[in-house]
Amino acid sequence: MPSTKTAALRSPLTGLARPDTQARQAPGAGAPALNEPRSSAPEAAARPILRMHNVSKSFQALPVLKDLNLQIAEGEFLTLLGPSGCGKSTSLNIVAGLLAPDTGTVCLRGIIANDLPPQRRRLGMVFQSWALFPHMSVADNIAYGLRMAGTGDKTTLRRRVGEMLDLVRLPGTETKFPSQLSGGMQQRVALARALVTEPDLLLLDEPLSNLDAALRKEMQVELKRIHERLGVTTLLVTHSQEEALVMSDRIAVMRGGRIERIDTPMNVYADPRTSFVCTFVGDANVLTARVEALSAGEAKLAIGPLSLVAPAAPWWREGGEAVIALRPESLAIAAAGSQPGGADAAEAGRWSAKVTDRIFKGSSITYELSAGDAQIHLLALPQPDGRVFRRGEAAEIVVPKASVIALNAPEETEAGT
Amino acid sequence: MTSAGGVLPGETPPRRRLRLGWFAFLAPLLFLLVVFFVIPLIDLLSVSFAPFTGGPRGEAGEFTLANYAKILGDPFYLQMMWNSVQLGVYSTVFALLIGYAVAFYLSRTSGWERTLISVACILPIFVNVIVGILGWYILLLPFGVFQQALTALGLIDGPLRWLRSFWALVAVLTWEHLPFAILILVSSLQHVPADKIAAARIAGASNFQILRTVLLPLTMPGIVASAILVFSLSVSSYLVPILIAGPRAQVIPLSIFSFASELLNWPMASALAFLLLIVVAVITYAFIALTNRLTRRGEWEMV
Repeated sequence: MPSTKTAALRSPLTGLARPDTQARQAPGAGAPALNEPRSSAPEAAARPILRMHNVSKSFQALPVLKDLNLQIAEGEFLTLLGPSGCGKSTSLNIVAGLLAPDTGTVCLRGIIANDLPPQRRRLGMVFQSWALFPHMSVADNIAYGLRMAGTGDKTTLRRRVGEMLDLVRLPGTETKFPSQLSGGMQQRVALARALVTEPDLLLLDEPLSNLDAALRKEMQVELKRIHERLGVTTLLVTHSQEEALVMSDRIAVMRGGRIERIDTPMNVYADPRTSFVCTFVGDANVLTARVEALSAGEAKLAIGPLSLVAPAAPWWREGGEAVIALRPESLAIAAAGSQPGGADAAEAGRWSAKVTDRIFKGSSITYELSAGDAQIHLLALPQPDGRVFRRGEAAEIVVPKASVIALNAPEETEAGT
Repeated sequence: MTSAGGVLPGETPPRRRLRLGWFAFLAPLLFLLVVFFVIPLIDLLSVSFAPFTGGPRGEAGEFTLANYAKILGDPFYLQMMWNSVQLGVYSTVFALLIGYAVAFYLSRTSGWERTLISVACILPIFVNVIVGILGWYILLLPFGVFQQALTALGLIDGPLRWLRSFWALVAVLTWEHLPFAILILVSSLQHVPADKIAAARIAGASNFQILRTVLLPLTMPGIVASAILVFSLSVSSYLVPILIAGPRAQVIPLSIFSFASELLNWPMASALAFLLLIVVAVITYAFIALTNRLTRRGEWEMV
């Protein structure tokens, strides 16, 4: 667990007292112990910083969130991932207090925060546009939260601003104005401004979407580093699967106002469970197969004329339908008529196919193939022998057993992607 | 480097032509400004230095500072100037206070409410200003609606002489110029991105702190523009003082009119007009300089 380690790291930085809130104890938030200050470190990992319970929100009768449930543990980096309109930004704004939920409760540190105004929630937020104050110097931008709270004299403020600028690696920019900084630098200032008050929860609203690709990669690593250093509980909203996979401890994939899958990045990727998650996080060939036979934990599947022997999923029934996903990178391409190597048992199937397209990307090649009625794409690394398949050439798709991902969303059947 | 990236001597003429093009766009405006503003102003200035000899334009060609000396040496005119400046300052302050509140509400609302308030704000502009002022006249009369209502409620012991008072003038001037202030302030408030306010709020700022540290600095250009407009219109207003306070109201525009068309003393009228112009220009400039310094304008740009 990263949370226990990071909580210990964080404590020396904590200088602010909690504001006195007349908030009520949440009835559904667990034992009263949740309300204690954070000094009791061992239990900290189990204690949720944020808990959303059955939160719903509609805009003009259009439901945007439907009974959303979410918990974030102390020190955790959680990402809400989804396409635009899935309700992820609305969730974030509800957590921030900028929107009020129609029903349900939002608890911060075990306290119902529904009626708590944003300025008393002890949050930090980085906006998509960064929302820096253009008329203030970098130092004034960063010190803003401290100044509004009236904490600290001039020297303390200067020291804290210096610390934050060191943290985001922008030392010496105190007197600059935001318009004099590049996009990446403005982003760092926005992050410093959000972190200077040592918030309980850091909210990031698509903070990297206004940066170019190279800078975005750099900032992903940077955000991860800062999160690990401070251990600040972080809620990121993004539509970029790459950001989510790189930075998060856990990913919540959202669709249509609900969380469809929530788990660690690796688990979400390896076992996406629904075809939506499967194709949104990473790339996949989603195929609908017919279960021809079930025996000894293995199933014989037929996708049109193609057949496959794969580990059976518990919900598959003989004669029924099975939706499976094949990640392009876990498939292999082989020359037509080639014999399987020694690892025969690990092979689920071998389909003869025709190369319909080839996209060369330097470190990898994407092949589009038609096999039976299905269109399959797969990712191949350039072979040492330099073997490259041409468009129109016959080839074989090798499907390893471990590559077959069973999905259990029968209502979302799509033959191929 | 290829020649495509460099600036060749042959590439300059198009740029020069472009500059001439802009001049062509500006020409009508410049023409109007010169013919109807600069030339009359120069004439005004020259007449103001002419001695008064009974004719309206005074003695042409002679130079005297007598008109200015008479105004600046006479407490009567200085008081009059002070009255005008005070009228301008108070009506500007009230127009800004009311206008900012209305504009803030307007910029954060939508639908029929927005339409209703917008129409209510702009309607006074469509009503003939004399009609509007006469409306106020009737309301402010010793037996007008206001006084009767307030007397009936026991709040005042009427009838009172509100009509000729300084504050009646301030009220009517504020009312007359409020729409301009609102229109300017709404557009500048709408240009403040909502996420900057949200960012300030999450950082822990109270509503008043947000107003002071974010909204006011970011809308300062709009505040300055509407202040200048309301101030110069109020100081130079002729109709409001003469209709509300009568022809003996001690303000500069009435005096200028009196010198120009009743006494046919154009040199004095010109000197008064020119002094008023200087006073308004100096106050306006000082206000702009002060707000620019406070908001460090010019050092930063909107991001």
